Amino acid sequence: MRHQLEKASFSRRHFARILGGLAALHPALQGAQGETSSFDFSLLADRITSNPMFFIRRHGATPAETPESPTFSIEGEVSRKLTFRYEELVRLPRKTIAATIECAENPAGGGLVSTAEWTGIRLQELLEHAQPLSSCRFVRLHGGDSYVRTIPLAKASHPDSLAVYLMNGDELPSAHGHPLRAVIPGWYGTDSVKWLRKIELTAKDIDQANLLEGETTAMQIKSAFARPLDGAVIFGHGFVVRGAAWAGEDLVERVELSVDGTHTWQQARLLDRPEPYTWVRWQWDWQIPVSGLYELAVRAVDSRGRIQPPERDPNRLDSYGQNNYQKVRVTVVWPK
Amino acid sequence: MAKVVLCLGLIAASVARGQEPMQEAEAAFRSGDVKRAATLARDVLANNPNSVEAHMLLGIIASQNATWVSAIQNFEAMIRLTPSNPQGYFYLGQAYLYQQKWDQAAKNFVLALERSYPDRGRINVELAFAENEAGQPRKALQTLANIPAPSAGPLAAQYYAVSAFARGNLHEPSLAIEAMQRAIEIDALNPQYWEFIISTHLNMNQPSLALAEAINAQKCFPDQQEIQYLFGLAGYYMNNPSLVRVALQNLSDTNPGSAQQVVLLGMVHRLEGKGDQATSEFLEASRRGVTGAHLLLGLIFKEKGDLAGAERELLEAERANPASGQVALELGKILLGRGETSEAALRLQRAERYMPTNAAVQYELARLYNRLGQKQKSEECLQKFKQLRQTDPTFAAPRQ
Repeated sequence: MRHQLEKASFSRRHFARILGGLAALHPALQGAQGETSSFDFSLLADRITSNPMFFIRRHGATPAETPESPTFSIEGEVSRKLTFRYEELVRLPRKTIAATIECAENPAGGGLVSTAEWTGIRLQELLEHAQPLSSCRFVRLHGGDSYVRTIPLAKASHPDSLAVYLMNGDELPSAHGHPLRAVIPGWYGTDSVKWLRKIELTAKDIDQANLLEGETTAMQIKSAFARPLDGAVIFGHGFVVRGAAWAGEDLVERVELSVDGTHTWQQARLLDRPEPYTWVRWQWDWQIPVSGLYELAVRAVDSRGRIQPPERDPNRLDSYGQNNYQKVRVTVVWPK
Repeated sequence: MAKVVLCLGLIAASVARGQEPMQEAEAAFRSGDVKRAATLARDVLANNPNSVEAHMLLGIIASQNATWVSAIQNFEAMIRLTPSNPQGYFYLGQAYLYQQKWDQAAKNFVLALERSYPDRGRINVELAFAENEAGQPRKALQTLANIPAPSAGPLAAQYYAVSAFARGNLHEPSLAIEAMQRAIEIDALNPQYWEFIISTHLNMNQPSLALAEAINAQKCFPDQQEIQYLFGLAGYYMNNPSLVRVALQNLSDTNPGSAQQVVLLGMVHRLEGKGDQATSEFLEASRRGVTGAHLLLGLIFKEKGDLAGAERELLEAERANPASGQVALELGKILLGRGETSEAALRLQRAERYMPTNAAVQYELARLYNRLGQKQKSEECLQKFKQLRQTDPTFAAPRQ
């Protein structure tokens, strides 16, 4: 660690980000009512994750419910400041997209990632109503929990960026941002601000949200095992290995498995048609040559040629974008 | 388990080693060359038919090959030649244990113990196992009480597992689960221990606890058919079709076309509201010998008002799994409804033993005692019912 610190080119922003990461991870530093629950990959069956199984990451308390008729405002560098009532919003043309959301701090093999069908209004349409000034470059998304996140206007205006009120066809659950949240597909969950109350358009990136470095914006190519998981005991001579892979705005091109310490790789079969934003499930039939201990590794490659790295870049001091290979150790036991 | 013990027993056996060919035979056995070991041991016997060591080795080899007649002949020869030697009785007991001849196994273990078999921990656990399986769970617990509980290793896990099996047979499910949890703490890699815990929770009508255990177990043992089936069953009783689908998928990967897969498919249909398809799958599963399908069919028939059909299926379910509290409750309700109070009492009291915190059981018992004119008992059950229904999730949300 000391070695890494010496190597790193330090800045206040880096330091703040490291602290932010630690605060998010360390329970003692979390808000009293923070909540984290992971998606259990061993329960992956359908491409879409049901609402109760969808991961939750919340650093503070869920904001108190808004009044009977919640409102949502657009302000800042706009010609028309607007306030919408919830009832007005849901009457606007709706769009549904399937999108995998991953927490930026999800470790390799971690379950802070899930996929849902999101229904809402295109942010682009709301912004058009407000008529952004020509100076406007960024959009600040304000959550009811005081969390604020800045994204470029270009991404906010993408036709797939939504202000969402339905999750898998049901009213957005409280833990997922009821009544309204942003879904910025293909970008880490940190940008999909929950309990969305206000959109503020700005000329500058006030929050300096790492947009230039791209570390916590677009999701990396990544894959995970659903079965077997670390520590599993397998008794058969063959085993169907399963999992999921995702590539943010890009398409998963292939998924590869290794059972020999990453010396050789076998290609898995993709069970879903690759689409932007959404994970694909994959499967590989493992014919086990001999009983004993095995280390399995998985990696994915996307349509841009991005491939998961074997290890985490040791120069990265934050906890974001961990997309190195997932490895699991299993024991194969053949009764005599 | 017993095979390992047989091998270890050979190494540990305190038998005289004088003849070189016999030592050679034992060395061949230890190195895994069983065929050569058997040939050499037979040569020894040809020269000396009274060689206890040769009989023991041939008996162990025969046991490993499950050729029980030969195994028993050799172990009996050992006993005939050295009646004071406990080894012959121990091995003979194990040979019977493997053949599920529980009484004979127990009898020989006792004889070995009387001759001071050196590994008292091992033999008492084996004896208790045999006694429990022979229908004497209380005696099994007494046998276990004769030795200090081992603190580590496979024997310790087996000690608690046998204790759990016996508690289960004594209708003490909570103590059974407690004992099995200790077994798992010591040896988490035995799927049968997990199966026992999940099944016991299901029998106690505690589907949420069963599901929690099953989710962990299916991760540890992703290709164990029984674990996946129980996982699906627990998911079903928690009304969660997506979990049943996961179990179904895992089961299909492991053993495509199995009868248990048919049950799980029926469950998915049922949870998705496709009742007729579900019934047809359950009937198919029951034809293929899945005993768990009878309870599911019983519940469906009861819902449809076919009480005769429901009773028939529930009686089948009871025959297959007399430890199921839910089966006992459902059967008790039907019998009580028909006015067969003594038969109903039998089932409802059994249901109470298995599901002591189940509100519905207390409600039915209150009705039963009221019908029998036992007003005070009826009132007591009613009070228990009122307390339990506040906390019993299965009462608030009746299962499908």
